[in-house]
Amino acid sequence: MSEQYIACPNCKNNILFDVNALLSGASFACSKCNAKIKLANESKETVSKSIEEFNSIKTNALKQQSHDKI
Amino acid sequence: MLILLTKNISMKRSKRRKYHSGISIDQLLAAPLVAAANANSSMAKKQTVFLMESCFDRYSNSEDEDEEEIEEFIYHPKMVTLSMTKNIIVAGTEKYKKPKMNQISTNFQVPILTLIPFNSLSLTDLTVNLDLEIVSQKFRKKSDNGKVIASDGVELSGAVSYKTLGKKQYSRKYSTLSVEMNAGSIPLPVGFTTILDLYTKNINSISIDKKTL
Repeated sequence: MSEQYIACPNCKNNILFDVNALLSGASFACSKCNAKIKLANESKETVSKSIEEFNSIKTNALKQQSHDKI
Repeated sequence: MLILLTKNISMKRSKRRKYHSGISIDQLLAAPLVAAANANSSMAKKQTVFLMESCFDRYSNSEDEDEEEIEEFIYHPKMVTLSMTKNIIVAGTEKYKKPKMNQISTNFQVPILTLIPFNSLSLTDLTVNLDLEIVSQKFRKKSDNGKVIASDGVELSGAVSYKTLGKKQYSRKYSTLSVEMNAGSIPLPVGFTTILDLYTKNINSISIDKKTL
């Protein structure tokens, strides 16, 4: 999986993050200004639902591909 | 009675003729390729539907509820809240001369689009192994006013191949067609990465008055 970055609102440097770690409550620090970002509690449910849905789409698509094998 | 017998014989002959003419190799090879293309397109469609439904809120733009008018929609990205904490140094006061470190926390919103690890999954390799004996070949020819002008290609037909064990040749009752598929990530479409880039690079901290909150 490719690495994900988000721009630091403080200094514009790229902060490397992992969405699953964000969901589990981890925070990611900016290597330039040391500001830490984490997912706010009120948004955890929304992000979690979307990730689940996206993963199920990927899994179903792969299942469908294996069914298409002759 | 005689008529029935001749009918049966002619049916058997036609079946035998069909068997000996073989199966079209073009069709056999095309089937797995078409299945792979369909799988790719259905995966791309599902990802697009997910993107439009889960990452954007849709609003209708048309004011009139006239059925004949084509409805226009405006898509706004769904936002999620992230919180940022940073340390700031507060200068010492007259009472406490030593400067101290304070931690401040700020909430900011980003489109959910920037958090989901999108990747374009697709079939990258497709290997087709076909084990058939070529039994007939036909030359398709283009004709112009009854005169043959050029050869248009060859149509091959195949049948169950023979298996040789030592000096003896055994005929098999089946033939094999194996298809190997590998799925992998391919680069995201340029349009999508441009939108993602625009959102990611435009996360700015702006001050909002407490009154407006």
